[in-house]
Amino acid sequence: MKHFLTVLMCLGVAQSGWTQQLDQSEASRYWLDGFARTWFTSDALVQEQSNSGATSSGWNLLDLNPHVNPNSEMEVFAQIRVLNEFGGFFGQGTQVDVRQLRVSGVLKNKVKFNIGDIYLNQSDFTLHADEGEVADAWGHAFEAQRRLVSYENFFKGNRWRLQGAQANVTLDGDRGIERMVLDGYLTRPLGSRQVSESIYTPDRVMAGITSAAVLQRGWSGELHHAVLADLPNSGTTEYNVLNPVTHAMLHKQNKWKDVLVRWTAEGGWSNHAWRIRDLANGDLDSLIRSRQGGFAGFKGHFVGLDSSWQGHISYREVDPFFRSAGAQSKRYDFSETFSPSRYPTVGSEEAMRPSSLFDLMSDINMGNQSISPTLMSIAPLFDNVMPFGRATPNRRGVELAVEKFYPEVKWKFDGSRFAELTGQGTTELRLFRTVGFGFEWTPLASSGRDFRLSVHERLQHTKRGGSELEALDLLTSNLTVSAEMELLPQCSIECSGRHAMGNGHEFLNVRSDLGELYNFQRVELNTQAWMTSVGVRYDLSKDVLARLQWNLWGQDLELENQSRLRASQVFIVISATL
Amino acid sequence: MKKTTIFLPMATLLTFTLTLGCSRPDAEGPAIDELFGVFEVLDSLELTNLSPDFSIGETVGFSCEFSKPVDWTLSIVGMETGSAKTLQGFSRELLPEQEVWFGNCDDVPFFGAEPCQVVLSIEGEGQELTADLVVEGTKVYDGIEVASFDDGIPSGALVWHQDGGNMTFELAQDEALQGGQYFKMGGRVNWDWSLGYIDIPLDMSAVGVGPDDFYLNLGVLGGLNGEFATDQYVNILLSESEAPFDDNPSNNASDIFGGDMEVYKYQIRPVDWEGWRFFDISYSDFEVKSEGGNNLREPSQIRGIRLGLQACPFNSGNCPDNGNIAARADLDYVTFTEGIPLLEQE
Repeated sequence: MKHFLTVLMCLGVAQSGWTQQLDQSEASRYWLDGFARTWFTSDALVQEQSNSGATSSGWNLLDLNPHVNPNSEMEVFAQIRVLNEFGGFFGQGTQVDVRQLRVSGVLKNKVKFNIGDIYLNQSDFTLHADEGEVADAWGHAFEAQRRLVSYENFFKGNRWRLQGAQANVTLDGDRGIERMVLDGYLTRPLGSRQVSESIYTPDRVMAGITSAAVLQRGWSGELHHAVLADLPNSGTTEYNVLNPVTHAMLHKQNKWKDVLVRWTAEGGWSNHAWRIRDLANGDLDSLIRSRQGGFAGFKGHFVGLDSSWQGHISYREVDPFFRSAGAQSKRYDFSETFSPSRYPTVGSEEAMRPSSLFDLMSDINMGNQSISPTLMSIAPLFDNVMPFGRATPNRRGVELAVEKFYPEVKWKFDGSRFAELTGQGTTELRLFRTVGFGFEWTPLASSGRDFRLSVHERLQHTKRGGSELEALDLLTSNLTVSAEMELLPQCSIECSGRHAMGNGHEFLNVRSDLGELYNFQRVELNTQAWMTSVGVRYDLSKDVLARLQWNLWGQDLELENQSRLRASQVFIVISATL
Repeated sequence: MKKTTIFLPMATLLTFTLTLGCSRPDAEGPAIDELFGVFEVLDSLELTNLSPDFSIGETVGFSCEFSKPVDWTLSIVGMETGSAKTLQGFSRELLPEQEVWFGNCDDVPFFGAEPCQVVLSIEGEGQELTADLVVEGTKVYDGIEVASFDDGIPSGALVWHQDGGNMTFELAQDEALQGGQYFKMGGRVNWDWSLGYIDIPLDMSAVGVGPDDFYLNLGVLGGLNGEFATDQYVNILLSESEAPFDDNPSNNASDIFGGDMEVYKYQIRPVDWEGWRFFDISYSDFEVKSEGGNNLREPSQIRGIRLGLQACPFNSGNCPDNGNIAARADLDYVTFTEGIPLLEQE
């Protein structure tokens, strides 16, 4: 049912285009691509006394993408999934569903449009999916797991997958304005749902518009506006969110000696409020907890003209009450209610296992695909400084980054110093410092076989003064290492490792359903979590890839009889791009 | 270049001034020094009424003040019935106008006129505060009474049961949940699921709420000497049929639950406990049994209720133990409420 309207729209648009281009060749009208994957895992606890029995799971899937081009300006795309879980008999474990559906096209050679399942990224403060805690500076570690989680959760770059419509037009100008882009979208992150016979959740819509202009002499500007809102008349729930956000940017690009420089000044504003429904008569009659917040920043981005280095320096200030659902929703669910797919309970007392590094890297169910109207839970062990990306509220500070490229080596360094603008539970302000350093070595081997080693370490330090209870001093370290060595043509050994370690404690915010901060949870972070993998990658052909990996992972626990969990996983994946 | 580097910081500063110049609070959220500080009871537990008579609408308010916000649980336990009522919260103090007991209970048995102990426990602090009170009069619940059985079988009701062994479709006085009498349903029928039922005519035309807000509340007594028949349950039918309630005397009880009539069904299944349990069932949770009407659960159209006992028959071969045990699911205090379930009434 959720795709019913989209199907109707697609069919309607397809039909109208179809009839216009009857003379096109059949071959160009239809074409297929897709993706197939076989995935198998076998998990076992590694215990000191004895090894536990292994549990295994997996599936075969085929995502078949029919593309229909009724004319040269339009395409209807669908993704049909056939999934067969291992262990299902006589079709019991087999699912067939429409995973994506979209109509794309160009009207009058001017207006590009998409209807259906679309991927959107507007700006860092309006609609943007920050990669967050899984971010790897070099992008190679645990590539197989990351691709699996991303693919299953529709994570594509910094874009959110939403259902709705989007259109944009580019206009070429003269005189002062060289080019102008207008882009708009209307989506529905959450559809109205019947909870009971007379109770409905409202339709939640996210809409936005962007205008960008490229001016002469290196000047350009962007204006973004987005709003998340529960439609007033579509539901019966008491609280209905309203969250408009505006973001403006001004850029100036010029050359300075051997450097291409791009300066950016930006600022914006948000409002976050709840419209209250009078349950007696169904009307929306008041607005509560209306909070305004602004942000502003200045950034200089530098690129060497010979492309041998790049870097940036920036200053940013984001108000404590700046709220942007589209930019602050997290990719991963760190709430206490999330139950990991592997070993959800541990110890003789069957305690709930808190999610950790292994789940973050490999648990498909930990991915979040929805826009959250309130701030989501964070994981300070992995990121305590910018848990909501650049749009993290209550921050003021500077950051800089430099990246240098040599023929065999690349290195990068980044650092930041931020402070809170408003204390949380105290008038004392947290002070955040981040230092990151990494290198990638790709020697030019005389044997002609490729080798790569990537290393990145990021340290975060959070400090707050005040009384003995208020004070905190938290240091976290996240070290990521990955290497790949070609053994034979198309056959490589892959190794990855990540180690996260904390020392200190932090107070996590406990917020009400309406986002109000009403309590703190003190969490001890004298802990560590790790994940390593070693395996073989074999490229059967250009489009078919097989991987066999052995993973060892673990985390510290705070149980009476168990202080550490260690487990292993055999991971086999065969994927084919069709 | 020079103009640019001057202009942009100026523009940024101006933006800062415009957007962020407004005053911010010094701190957000409750004070950590208080939340994680030393716990003390600043004002001990006090009750606004030590001998409440809930039958005339009296209530009991509770007050207490701590040095910091805490998770607290306040429980009231009847010393004779064992009935209990629990209040919970996270706050720095209990205010008597907010923390109020209206004489209701979390589950049956109901409170009687009896002494009660009040215990206020603080999570994570290992401290309990206690007080005593005496209930002088019990709470009178609002609702549309279907059958309390205290004055006998409801007027116009029809009782039918099989000719099995030890059949007990009758009134009894020994273990009433509320008042002095209840309705027993029990016996042994080896050849059929249905042991018997009681059909009660109803007139709900004055009801003005929808099915989500219309609740059937009833007490069910299960077990016989600690044993339960396999898969025994209470089968509840509500009919919106406009047919006469008892037009055909040769029928097994009422005529409005036929296969071609508008009838909705709910099962309390299995009944596998000993003693009384109290249920509240929203009308919207009833499923369509027979599609003889518009399939819209309309409380004001309800014309009758059937409360029956069913159990797995021994002869089916699926429940060999039922050859030696009688089924039992007794009923009491069958009441409809509008808006909220009976036990949640204040």
